[in-house]
Amino acid sequence: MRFLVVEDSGTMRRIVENSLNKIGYDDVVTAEDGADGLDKYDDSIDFVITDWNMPDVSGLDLVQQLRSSDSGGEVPILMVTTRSVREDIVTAAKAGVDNYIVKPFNPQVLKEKIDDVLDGGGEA
Amino acid sequence: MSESEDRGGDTPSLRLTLSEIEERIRHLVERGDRQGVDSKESAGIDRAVEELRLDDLQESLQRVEDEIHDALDVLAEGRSDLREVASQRLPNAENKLEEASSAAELAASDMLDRLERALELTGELEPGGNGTSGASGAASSQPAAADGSESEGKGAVQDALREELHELIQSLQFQDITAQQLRHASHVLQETEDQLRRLSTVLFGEDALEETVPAPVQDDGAPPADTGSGDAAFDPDATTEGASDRQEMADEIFG
Repeated sequence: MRFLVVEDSGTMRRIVENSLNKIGYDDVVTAEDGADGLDKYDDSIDFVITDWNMPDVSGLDLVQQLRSSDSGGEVPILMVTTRSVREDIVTAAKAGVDNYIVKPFNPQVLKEKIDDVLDGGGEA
Repeated sequence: MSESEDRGGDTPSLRLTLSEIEERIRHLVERGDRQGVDSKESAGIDRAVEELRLDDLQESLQRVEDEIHDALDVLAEGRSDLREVASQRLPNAENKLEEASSAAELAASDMLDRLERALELTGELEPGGNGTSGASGAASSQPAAADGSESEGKGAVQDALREELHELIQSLQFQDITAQQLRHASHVLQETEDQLRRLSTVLFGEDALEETVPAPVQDDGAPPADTGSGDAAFDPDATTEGASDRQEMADEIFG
């Protein structure tokens, strides 16, 4: 399974990638912001993990653009963000995010959410 | 007495002067009203004006002028303070925040490099072997094939070490969160600086602060990019606290 991790913080990008490796997912493409994420997204991506707060093209923008595209309409999307106001989470859900992780997180939560999105069949 | 009360000590006096004038005008109008709108009105007003004691009114107006001059003096004194805050202290504070954020990011990156290297090294350790460290030299004289329990023990230590390293990597998430908090603080300072500049322009003229404040530029000489409200670039409510409670709320919404 190929992941696209979209995160503007270099530290968080590496931590998410490390967490994915730890829970058994080694095929990870990284993008530095929403625009880079849209550039790097293609049909080979099976799962998108994105931050929300990023300059220019935010994670929410990324989700909305993917959902309105032919190729990204169905791709699983997990948002990993510090934003945790109820209205924000509802907004993310309405935009098409499949599940939501509040930072700081741990790899176990990441695994649980990925599994949930993959309908419980997410063993790597 | 607070500083504002001290500096504004003349304000009640100014208010008193203005209220005196207001009272005299009200008296004049009342007198006019009582006279009615007829031919006697003019005479009534004339009498009221005479009663105003114009000398007193002139004295009152002089006091008003003095008060205004005093207020302007206070503002002029504050101009240098305003200039220092808006042109030096606030930009310096913003620079310090940026410096702290960059230093933390560099340090986190360096720690990640070393932790990832350490993880690689744990992979090179053989559960039943002597490891790669020179510290194991004494053990190398022992039989290479340790018994099963020793091998299992070393394997457990290796797993525990790997787990600890992963935990350390996870703990570095603080850097992303504190960086957002610092960006928020810097944004507030920037807004305050902008407000002070606008206030200074209103009080002292268009270029009141431009004399000492060169427009900030980047290394390449270009003006800094407008990051807008910052809403997209950082979360003003970012925090390391209460993550589990906030996660529960997200779980509730996502069912």
